[in-house]
Amino acid sequence: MFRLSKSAGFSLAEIITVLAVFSVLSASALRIVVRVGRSYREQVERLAINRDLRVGITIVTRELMNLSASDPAGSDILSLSRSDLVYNSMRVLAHLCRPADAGDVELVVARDSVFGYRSFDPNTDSLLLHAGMGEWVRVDLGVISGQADCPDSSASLRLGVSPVPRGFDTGTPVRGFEGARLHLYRSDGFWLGANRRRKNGTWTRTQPIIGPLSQDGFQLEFYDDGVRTTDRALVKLVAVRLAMLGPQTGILDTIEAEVAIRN
Amino acid sequence: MMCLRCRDTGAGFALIGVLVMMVTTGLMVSGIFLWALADSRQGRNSLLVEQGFRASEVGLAAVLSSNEMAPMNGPAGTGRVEADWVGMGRAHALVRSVGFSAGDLARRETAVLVEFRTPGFLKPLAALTATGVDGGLGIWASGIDSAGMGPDCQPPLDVPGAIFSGDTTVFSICPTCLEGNPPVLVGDSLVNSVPGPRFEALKETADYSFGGGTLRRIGPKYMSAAECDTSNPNNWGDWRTTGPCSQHRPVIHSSGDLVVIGGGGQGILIVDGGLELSGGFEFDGLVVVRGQLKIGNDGALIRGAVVAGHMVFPKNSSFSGPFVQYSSCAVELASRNHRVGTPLERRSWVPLY
Repeated sequence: MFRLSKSAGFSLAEIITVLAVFSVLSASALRIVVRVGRSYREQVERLAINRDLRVGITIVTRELMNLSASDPAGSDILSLSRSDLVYNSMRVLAHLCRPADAGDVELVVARDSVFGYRSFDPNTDSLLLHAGMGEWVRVDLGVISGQADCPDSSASLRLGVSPVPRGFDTGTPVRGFEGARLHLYRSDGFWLGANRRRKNGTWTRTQPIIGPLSQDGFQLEFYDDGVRTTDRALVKLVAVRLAMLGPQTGILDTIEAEVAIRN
Repeated sequence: MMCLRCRDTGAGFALIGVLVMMVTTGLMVSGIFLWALADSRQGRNSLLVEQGFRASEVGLAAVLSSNEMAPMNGPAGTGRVEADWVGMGRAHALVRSVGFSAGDLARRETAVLVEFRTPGFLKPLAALTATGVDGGLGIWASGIDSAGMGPDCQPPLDVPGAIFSGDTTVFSICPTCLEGNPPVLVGDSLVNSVPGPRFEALKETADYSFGGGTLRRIGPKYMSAAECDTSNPNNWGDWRTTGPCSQHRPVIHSSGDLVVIGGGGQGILIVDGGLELSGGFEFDGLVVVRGQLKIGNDGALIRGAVVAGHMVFPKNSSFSGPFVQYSSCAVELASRNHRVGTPLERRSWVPLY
């Protein structure tokens, strides 16, 4: 019959063996934990990068889609380079609810007809009025005031403008646009940023869109019927590439899109 | 003294270690799973938004290609679309298209600016355009625009009382029987430009067709107090009130000589033969007569414009006229349904977010 002896214990060899085995097992377990932890951080960061890249490419493509390059009144693309684009961006659409005569310095638009990203902004906006047969006429926007003076007594906006060069009928579409810029800039890494241009020609503070990007993390290529071009009046398609760096793990991921400009 | 081999404390660290590792690993796997789920949702959202965008573009293309100014509500691509026309004055409109995907989970809205162009033959430049005219004293045709002001009408713009293709005898017959700016023009007649594929197509789309004959009691007809009976060929719309038939402006075509006595209507009246109007008949819109248009001695009034081969006004009428009163608004409203809406050549596309 087995019986425990009160004097029974572990020999030194047993303890050393157990400690060695335990150390090896602990080291292996720690390595696994560290590896799993690193993999977890990478996965989490990769997912975050994917999400940010998708949001970034959506913002950029929506900005580019609305451009008009071939308008004789002037291309919306003001300057272009591989990582810097200055352009006129359409923000708002409305129509005249009263006719305007040549020389008028005020336009009356129906407030109900104001569509788009936002309403008119006198600090940044200029206007384009449709003159028929695809022609648009540019005027500067000044003071805006609200008045209920459309012919049907519905609410209107009175837009102070530079003298209108010709007459426009009721119903004439009015598009408001602002100068904008998308560019790669450096601030604790490389970032894609956007600016709005004020009437006095200065730019608003850069608004970060996504980052940190790689050094060439925002790239644009401009095409005219499949041929690369640097002529801003000939651009029909823009290829966009964003490359983002994981700030913790340094992993790199990219997204690309091609945008046919619509106007 | 610690008892290393006692049964009550001999569980060791292995179980605890394994449990800690399992919990840690489980938490990490769960975290990754949740992130992956969030990413999957984000990816799905992106996909749905893109599908909604595509659906809205499909809707724009469908509505614009139909050219019927009809709204659209139905499937489009992998989504669904609701598209409609929004009026912007009388020369422009906005075609708005809202694309949905996965039920109403994703929604994108785009639009196209459209410019209306009226076919040339629907825009006569005078109250009366004819190859010749005959009549008694009084005002025959007036080019002084009687258009009313309102959202459907432009400010009045006076036009010539008449344009004749070459017959100048009117000056000797009655130099004061025509008024307008100027009263009379002699030159190319629109009559010569009326035949053509678009004009023939307009006849093909006529709401009511007659082989000729005599028509009486022309006027608005109703299904009920609130419903216009457009199936009745004698219902040429309500030119007097804002009732249920006030927006009914049919295209009426007669392939033979037509006589209309009394009543009235509105729209576009095309007669390949001759037309005689009498009994105080009133018509708002455009009248095109290949042969002779005769106004009977008991009078008739056309508010809008007339294109006729030859025109005969009453010689012994107690009515002083005018028998043709130009109205840019009446012509505009009559031809509105026959305008061609085309996207602006530049800057037509509008993202509405």
